[in-house]
Amino acid sequence: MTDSHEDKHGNDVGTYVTVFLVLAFLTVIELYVPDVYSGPERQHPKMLLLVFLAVAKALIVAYFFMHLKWEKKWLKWIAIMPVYMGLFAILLMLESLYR
Amino acid sequence: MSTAHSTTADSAIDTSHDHEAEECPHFGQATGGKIAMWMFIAQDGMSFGGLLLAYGILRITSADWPIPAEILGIHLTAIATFLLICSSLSMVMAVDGAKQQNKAKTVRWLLVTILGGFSFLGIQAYEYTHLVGEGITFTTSTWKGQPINNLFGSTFYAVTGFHGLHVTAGVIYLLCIFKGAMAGKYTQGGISYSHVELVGLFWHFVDLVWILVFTLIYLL
Repeated sequence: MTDSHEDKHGNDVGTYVTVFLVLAFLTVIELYVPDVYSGPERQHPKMLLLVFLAVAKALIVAYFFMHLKWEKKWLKWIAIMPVYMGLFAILLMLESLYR
Repeated sequence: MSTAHSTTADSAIDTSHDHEAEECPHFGQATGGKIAMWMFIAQDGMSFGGLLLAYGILRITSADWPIPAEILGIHLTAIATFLLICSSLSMVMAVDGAKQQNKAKTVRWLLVTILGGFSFLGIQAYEYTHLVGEGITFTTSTWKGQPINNLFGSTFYAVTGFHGLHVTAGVIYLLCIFKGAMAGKYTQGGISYSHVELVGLFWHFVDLVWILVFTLIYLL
């Protein structure tokens, strides 16, 4: 049986192993970030960098391992629903920062 | 519509069923099960979002919050994180095997994924035992004999415990799928492989959430 859907995916083992290596590499970087940004004056860059790395890793998992890259738009809209919550939290934080 | 037209339409539908499901303009070839799983994941993601938001608010508004890295075993948890990432790779390989209708490959990689899940749970059980022994419990927190903010233990167990329950549910779900895979249920053609894909979606979600929990609870 020809699976044209799979052909469109191009989801071969090579892609998965590459994604895995990228995730492992980013995890190693995460472990070194607290040591590099250790002083109290460097807490903000540390926080921003760690959150950025975590969000990047989460997106990579969703995009490649959960096959969102190859899904139609509507499924992506369902998947992005929890992100609104994060945006709402950022909005509340900005409001309290600049009140 | 004339009878001749109906007959032509019916035969057209039959033919399309023989080959592949008709593509939906909105969801493509995604099965009902896949759409339902994604809706569940989105809702579950919001549950985790609520917990993490509450954790963030409690932590920011507490002046005496301890530094997590000084109490929690970062290196051990990093190994657990790596194990979950490895199990995500093995899960995607199992789905690949099911798509290729390769029973041996599907069973092999599902087994590796289950072992990864059990290893993660083992590390979490060890961590909990160690922390409770040190005085960090769900309601009270003491560290090296000194009382610390009780919310540290409460939020730690609430968030990581809720995730641990998801890993447990995921392992049970994987064991059920593993049993079916052993019987060759998902490698008999058609869309039966999508059952492996569904457990894969749940398992990757558990991994995705841990990536965020690891940063927010342990590293920050």
